[in-house]
Amino acid sequence: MELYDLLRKPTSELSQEELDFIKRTISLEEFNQIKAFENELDNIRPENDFSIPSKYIKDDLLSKFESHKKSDSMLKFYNFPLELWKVASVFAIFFLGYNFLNKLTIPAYSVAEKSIKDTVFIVKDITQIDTIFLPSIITKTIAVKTQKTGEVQKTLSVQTIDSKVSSYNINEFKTFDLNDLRENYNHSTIYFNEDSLVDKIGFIQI
Amino acid sequence: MLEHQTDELLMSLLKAGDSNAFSKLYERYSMLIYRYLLRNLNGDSGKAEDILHDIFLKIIEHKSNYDASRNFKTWIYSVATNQCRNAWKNEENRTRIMEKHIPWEYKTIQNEEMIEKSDFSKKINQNISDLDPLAREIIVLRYYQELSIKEISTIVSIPEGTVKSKLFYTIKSLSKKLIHFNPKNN
Repeated sequence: MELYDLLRKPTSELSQEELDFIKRTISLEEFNQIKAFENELDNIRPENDFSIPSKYIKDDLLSKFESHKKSDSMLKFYNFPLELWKVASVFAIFFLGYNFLNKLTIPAYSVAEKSIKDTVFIVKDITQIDTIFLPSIITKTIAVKTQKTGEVQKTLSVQTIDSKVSSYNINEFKTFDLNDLRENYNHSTIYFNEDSLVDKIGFIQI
Repeated sequence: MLEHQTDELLMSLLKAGDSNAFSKLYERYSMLIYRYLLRNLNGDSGKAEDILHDIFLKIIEHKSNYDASRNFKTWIYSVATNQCRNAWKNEENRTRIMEKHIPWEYKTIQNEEMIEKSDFSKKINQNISDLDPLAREIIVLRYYQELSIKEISTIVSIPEGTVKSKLFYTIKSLSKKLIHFNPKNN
């Protein structure tokens, strides 16, 4: 029970217990005076209070709201590509790592163009290179393309590290089955002889 | 359309960037909060406008942090109360406010019928200004802002029983000071 609650209650509705409670704190006369004053206070509500804030506050806040909205949407715009950048970075690292490994395993080769499909890397100027260390990720087939299709028969010698040599006619696009090579020579390193007229070699992952 | 929406829904719309929702909230609360600030700052209208601006700017800048489960009304009054307390804590402001200690008068429309009531208003305003900050906040929230005991308890962060007790003893003290306005004394 709180005296304030009793203050708000009509006197006629106060129970004997409540009256006793009041009397233990203050006299009933004083309580009634406070009650009457509280009633006056309750009626003081400022319906006639016309104090208003400057209208410039609202104008300023609305312009701040709009500029904040713009910065929010800019933030969203930059946040989205930021996520994309993270994904792209992972792919870029993988791609660069892949290329780096390729360069390590195919010395002096530059990846000049792509053809057939993305997993085929065509290497230019094969004649200057006599050794290809096959990247481990190339699993099945080597495609060798001649300089000029339809020319008189050219020969590509494929030699394994144990000096076994296989010769292939390469007057047209030709593929060599690595599995076959591996089975025959038990090694994945192929030597090209220097007079090879092959100008491009592609590794095709099938 | 926004007229009948709850404050909390307006806040959700505001968070989504709806400037009409912001305008509606401003219309609903700017006067109430401004008058609350005026009473708590002894009528310093410049300071009250500064704080009012800060409160709504906070709403704009931190709209994403607003907890939708919280009652907006008590939240905005809590922010206003804390801002007033900070202003009072600032010694420079305190001096300025105390020096300015008016007794200030609200901009009111006066007519003969109102004069008597207005007299009482002036006196009560003076006496409310002299109260300790917590008592002043509670009286203003109860009798000028017409908030419930529960709402006041949330805003000033004290139990409802303490709010009632503080109200009773503050009213008792005011009734003694303004005894000639007490109808029971006439």
